[in-house]
Amino acid sequence: MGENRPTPAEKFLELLRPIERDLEIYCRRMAWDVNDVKDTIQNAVWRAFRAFDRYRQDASFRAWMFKILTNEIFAANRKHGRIASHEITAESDESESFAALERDLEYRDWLNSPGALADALDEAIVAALKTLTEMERAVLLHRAIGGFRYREISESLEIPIGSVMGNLSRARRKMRDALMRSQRRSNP
Amino acid sequence: MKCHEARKLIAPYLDSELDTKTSLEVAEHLGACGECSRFFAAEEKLDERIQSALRQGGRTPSLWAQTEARIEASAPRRSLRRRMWRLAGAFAAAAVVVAGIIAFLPREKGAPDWAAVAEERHHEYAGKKVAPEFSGEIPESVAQKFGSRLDARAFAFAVAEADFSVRGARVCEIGGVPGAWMLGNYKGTPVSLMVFKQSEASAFGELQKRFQSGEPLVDCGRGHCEIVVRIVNGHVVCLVANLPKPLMQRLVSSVQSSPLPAASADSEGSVMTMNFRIN
Repeated sequence: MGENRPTPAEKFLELLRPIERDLEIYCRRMAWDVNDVKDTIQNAVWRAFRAFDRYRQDASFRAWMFKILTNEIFAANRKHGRIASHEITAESDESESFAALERDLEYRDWLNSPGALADALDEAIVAALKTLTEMERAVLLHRAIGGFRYREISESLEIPIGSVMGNLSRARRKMRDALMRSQRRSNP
Repeated sequence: MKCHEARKLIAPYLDSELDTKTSLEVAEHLGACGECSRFFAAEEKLDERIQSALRQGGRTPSLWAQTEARIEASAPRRSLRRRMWRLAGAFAAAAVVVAGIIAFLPREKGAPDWAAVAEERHHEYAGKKVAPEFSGEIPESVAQKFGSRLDARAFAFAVAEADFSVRGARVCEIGGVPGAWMLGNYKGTPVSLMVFKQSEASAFGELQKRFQSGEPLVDCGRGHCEIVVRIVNGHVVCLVANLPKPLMQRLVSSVQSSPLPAASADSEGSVMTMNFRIN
């Protein structure tokens, strides 16, 4: 019976394969330089495999891998000094929440216009990510690509749940602002 | 709840992160306030559009082949004898698999346990062993029993077909995950509509993996009745009934959620029929 027991490598790959696509998309969206993607993924996977004996079988492998990959991406971005000037921002400001957003009449007009969504191009949406800080991007992508809950994002990024909500709120607002500007530029 | 209070909660509400009680309060406000309803609907649609764009892309085979090869190469090589044993074992396993496939055709490879439980629950309904526990508002006792584990938004899903009606609802637990179970009827045939948060992925095993691979619709019918599953707005929506597969696929494709019972139709030109609403 023991002869057929899967090796740790086999077990690891069995868990890894279903989430490879999501990990790659996440890394592509997070990395400042697309040339870093390959090395970052390979380093993260190797690091995870070497730590696989410490992975708890009852925990979410997906969340565990996202956490390791995120750390690797942060390190890669930092290593090359690819931190944009706008990334050094003030801490969360409660006034910059949806309450402020809803007061923005221009935004609401746009949001309710019939073409607002139809005309939003995939490229414009992805480009809008560049207006986010690294942490805002990480939180938004954890949610959008990983489908994680606030608590899981908080654990993965090692930030309080309140910060998850704050970053998510700001990220969404910035995405919408960027989309609105992009659309207005193409349809003046 | 006032408009500004509801709007402060828009993100956790749309992300299904509120506790049941607060979620119900927001839903109640949306049922009464057309402007907030339209605002929430537009925000939800924009979120979905952004999410869908961010999820675009594929896996690069060469990158992952290289990555996996490094892991495989790190594993100690098996001895010839051990490999022979494995080969023999593989043949035996293949024989068992073939027998299993024949015995259980057209059993779905993905999530058989999950599908079995869903089917079992549906049979209890079809066999009149269980009945709806409530209709309309979720009773306080139910909300209290499950607390934040129960997603009130799951009860806002409905099949948008004129011949589909809902008798009522109850909570259904599969793999320890509480979900909404709408007990419906299509032209005299009992139909179960079960809705769970997608984030409770562990309860759905292989099924979740298939969705992650991009499959939009998964059939898990096991011969006794059809089970068709799809993801809608971050929820796993499952339809179980003894109806033809194409019809089941059509029905499940029409399933929509509405946090905005009162005003979604005029904002989006939707033809959705709300058979079940929280208000």
